[in-house]
Amino acid sequence: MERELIELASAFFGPLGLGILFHLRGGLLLPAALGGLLNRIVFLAVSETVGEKILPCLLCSMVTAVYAECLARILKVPATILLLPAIATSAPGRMLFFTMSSLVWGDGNGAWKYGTLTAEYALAVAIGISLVWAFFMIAGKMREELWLKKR
Amino acid sequence: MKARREAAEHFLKNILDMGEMLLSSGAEVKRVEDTLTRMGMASGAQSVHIFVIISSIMATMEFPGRIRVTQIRRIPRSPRYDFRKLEALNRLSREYCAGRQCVREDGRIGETLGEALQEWKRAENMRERYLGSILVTGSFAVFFGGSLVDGLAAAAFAPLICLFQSRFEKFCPNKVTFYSICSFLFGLLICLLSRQTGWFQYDRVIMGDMMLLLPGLSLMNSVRDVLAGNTISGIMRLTESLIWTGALVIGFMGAIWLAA
Repeated sequence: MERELIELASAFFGPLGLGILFHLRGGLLLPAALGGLLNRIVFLAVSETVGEKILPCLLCSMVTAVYAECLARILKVPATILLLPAIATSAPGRMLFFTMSSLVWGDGNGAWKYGTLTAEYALAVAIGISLVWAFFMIAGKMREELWLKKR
Repeated sequence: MKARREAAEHFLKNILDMGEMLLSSGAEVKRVEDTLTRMGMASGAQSVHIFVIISSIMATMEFPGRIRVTQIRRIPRSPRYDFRKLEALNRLSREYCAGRQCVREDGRIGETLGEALQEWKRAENMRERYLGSILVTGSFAVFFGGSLVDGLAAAAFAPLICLFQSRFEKFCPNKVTFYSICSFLFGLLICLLSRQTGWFQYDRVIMGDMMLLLPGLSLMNSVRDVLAGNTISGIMRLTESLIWTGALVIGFMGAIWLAA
């Protein structure tokens, strides 16, 4: 439980730091950090139920992308600036390091295992974000078409 | 006629400035193309053709009176992502388009846009960069399983990495060289200090510091570019990002092999 609380705290401060690093406006730092926290909460909640890690990764990136897109429309800012800090907690940094480490120590099986996991996590995040973006792009075009027809 | 042509050229120059600043600040290709197209149409152009890839912007606009202007802009290879600038430019373009201003003979509207853009042609706020890097590396070192000491150690290396980036990167022929050297040097430093002092775990510190160097925004924008139909730009950006990540990995691997 203590480990999870520490993880959630760092899932808040990490994206906050990324927001500062990328010179995000002060008023948007908290939403970006909350996005990172939401990402991690969803990941932990789903992985508790499901057991494996790829599906939780996919779902948490979808939820974070929806959060960023909706908030971006309300605040009238580009969605990228809210999404990037929030999605950073899904980055497979640990797996990438273990892949590197296995390669250095000559553990071929380990390198393959962690390498494929890294690729799977990265793909899950990319697919999750892409599905949400595709939905919002299509919905936006349909709404524009309807609006033009009404005019 | 000559004055109108000059006004159009001046306006297009400002439009390309806008595009360059958007791209350098972290905007995806579709956003840049859409923004520049809308601003061109809002200025009274009869046709606007914008083509953007990550290293270049090409624009042609045709104004009333058969005045056609074309300009090309080469984009610098090392963007400095600035979300505040990105947001402000986005807002500026909305306001400009809502104003429905036209290029006049005296070029005054071009001047107004140029003045507004001038405000954002400023150097990066290094204090924010250092503060952000300390928070990112410290938090992610802990996030990836490290202790508080590991977090503090990762945060201690962050300003050095930022300083190295700001002072040394310009001497490197490309980002691949820079990433390899940076990750190798700092990986070596982290591993040696960890081994000598035993105060922190080198693996967690490297994981935290790696988050500072990973090209996350490039990777994300590459996916977005492909989805938006800019396949060439998306694949260029993705290839570039994967090569940079590979360079980082090789640098850290070299350091771990030597020192850990």
